[in-house]
Amino acid sequence: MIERITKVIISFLAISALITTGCATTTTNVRQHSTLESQLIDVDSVLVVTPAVTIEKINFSDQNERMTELENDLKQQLITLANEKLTEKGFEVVKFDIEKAIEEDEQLAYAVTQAREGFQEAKKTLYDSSLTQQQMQNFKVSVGTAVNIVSEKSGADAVLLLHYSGQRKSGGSVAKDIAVGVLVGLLTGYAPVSSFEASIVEAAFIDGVTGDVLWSNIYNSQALNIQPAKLLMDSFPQDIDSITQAAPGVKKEGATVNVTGEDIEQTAL
Amino acid sequence: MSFFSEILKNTAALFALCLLAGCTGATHIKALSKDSNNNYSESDKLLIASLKKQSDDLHIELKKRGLIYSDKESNEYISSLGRNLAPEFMTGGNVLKFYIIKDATANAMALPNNNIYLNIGLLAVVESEAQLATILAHEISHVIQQHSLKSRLNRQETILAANIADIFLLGTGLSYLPAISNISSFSREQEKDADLLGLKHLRNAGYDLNQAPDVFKVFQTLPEVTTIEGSAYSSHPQNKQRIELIEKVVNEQYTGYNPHHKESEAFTKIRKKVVETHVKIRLHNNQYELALNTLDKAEAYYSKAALIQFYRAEAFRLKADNPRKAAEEIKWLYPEFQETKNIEYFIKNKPANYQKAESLYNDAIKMNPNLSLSYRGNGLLNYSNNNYTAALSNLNKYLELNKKPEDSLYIKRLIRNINRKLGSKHND
Repeated sequence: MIERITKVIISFLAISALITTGCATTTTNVRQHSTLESQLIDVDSVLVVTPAVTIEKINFSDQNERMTELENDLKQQLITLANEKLTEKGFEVVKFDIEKAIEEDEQLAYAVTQAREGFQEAKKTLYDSSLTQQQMQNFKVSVGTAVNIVSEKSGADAVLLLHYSGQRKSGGSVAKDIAVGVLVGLLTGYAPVSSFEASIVEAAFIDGVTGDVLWSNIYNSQALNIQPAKLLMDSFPQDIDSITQAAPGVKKEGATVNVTGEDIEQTAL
Repeated sequence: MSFFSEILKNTAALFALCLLAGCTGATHIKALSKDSNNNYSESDKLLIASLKKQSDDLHIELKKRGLIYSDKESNEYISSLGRNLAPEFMTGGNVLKFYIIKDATANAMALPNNNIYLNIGLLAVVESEAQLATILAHEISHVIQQHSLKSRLNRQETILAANIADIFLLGTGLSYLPAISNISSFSREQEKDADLLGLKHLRNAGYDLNQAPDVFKVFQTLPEVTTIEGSAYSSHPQNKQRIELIEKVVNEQYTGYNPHHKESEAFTKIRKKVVETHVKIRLHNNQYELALNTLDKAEAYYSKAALIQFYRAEAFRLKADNPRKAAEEIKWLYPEFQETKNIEYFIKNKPANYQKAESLYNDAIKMNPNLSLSYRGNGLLNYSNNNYTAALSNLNKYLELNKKPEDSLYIKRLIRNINRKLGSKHND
């Protein structure tokens, strides 16, 4: 019996060690629509939807606390970063007070929620572990046409959804981790150290008309600041206007675009 | 090995002690009453304030996300039903507040700030006002008994104890397994309390108590019942036990009671109102079978037959468009069919599903030639099948009949794409 329990514990330790090692590296997960370039022909202006930011302080008891001050601070920094990055990439950022509009318009608020939920659902396909490298750069997923309402009301051709979630361990939680580390170290000679803080940033660039996810990226990090978001946004696609300058064969509205598979995915209602 | 065995033995003993300690809390919290005088400790007061703040924040979040169903008539109806069930001391001012949420699951919840939320999915499945009142009475009982506070106190102590035990289990997290089951068993006790106290509220308001177990019988017929986590109404065995207990209590403790409450017409009216939103949420969530299930039930009370046929058609079209999602739903609802009704099955059945959808759209058009949505559906279906001329005609008809469609940008883009395709065909 004792041997069985020992085996179970050793297996858990091995898995924990793997997880800990896995978490120690930062990874990027860029996904791109199969016909991104042709889709971008219709995208000039972008609305930055107020980022959803959740930061929790992990306490020794289960009474975790929301770190609202840090949340608000990061929210502002994310908006500034997105505005700068979109402009740098050649897009026009639409000036529309989405937060105020959501407060006054239940239909708009619900449409944004549906778009966010749609992306959470789309992530299952986009980040399916069985995807090949080629598939990662060549997908077609839609969050649904609810996003039409957002586009219609803001006048933007596309929307950018941002989600930042993070956690910081309290002194008690860190002490517990250290105690566990010491005990594990004594027994195995290897002491797993989990990080004091961590974050996941997600971004989804969505066609406001079709609801297609044009580009998305997820960034895991052991930092709780704007830096992971900066790295995430580095791979944001360039506006087609810049590509047009580079490749004169591709033109805006009304021109012949020789790109195959231009059809709109109909996952939406 | 002897050193390791010693550690494990000591850990097991400590672990047991810690868990026992975790089970003892919250007995000092009393139920709310007319003349209740709860002498809360300072730490309890802090916890109550924190729970209320969390509840208020959650409400703000629900509102911000547009998830509160804001139909005035529906909300007034639910509130008046709730106030009629609650004891007098809970009805003054704004003690209890009732809301409907845009969630398709058959569920309800009571928060520590005395807010009670009913899901649209619940309103769509209950079959009578008495059944709806049973759920409301149950949730009101949770509030009066201060179940949130009690379970939070118990949970806090259990988690703290489990945390200590976890250190000695070398951070494996094994100690949390019993801790979690401890929490859920406690919840079942609270659910039972709420069921039985709910009966008293139902009796005081004059409802037919024989209908109380019926609502749990309705839950048992729902395909998703065993698959929703965290719902008080989602477990088959639990529902079966509840039905038996409620029937027993009604027969033994309420003999000679004569109900006097009469069903109001408002119930049917509100049900009709929410059913369309319910189906739309189901379809948005890629729950095609569940949408069809709702529509089958709605046929009994929903008079807009054309709209029912339209939404049925939507379910079949979307199934054909999204074979992967259709297969995922089957796997979720009916794991026994996951081998036979897998993604390949839905890919193979694409033409049949499109055909079924087309026939249903046409039925809807026959019933109501002005139902613009059916033309939209047919247009999208034609587009998927590369039948561009028919798609163009149907989508234009949709825009002609519906002057302000929510998805005008999408449809206009499709029409533009179709024109390009047709243009290039002509050029060829």
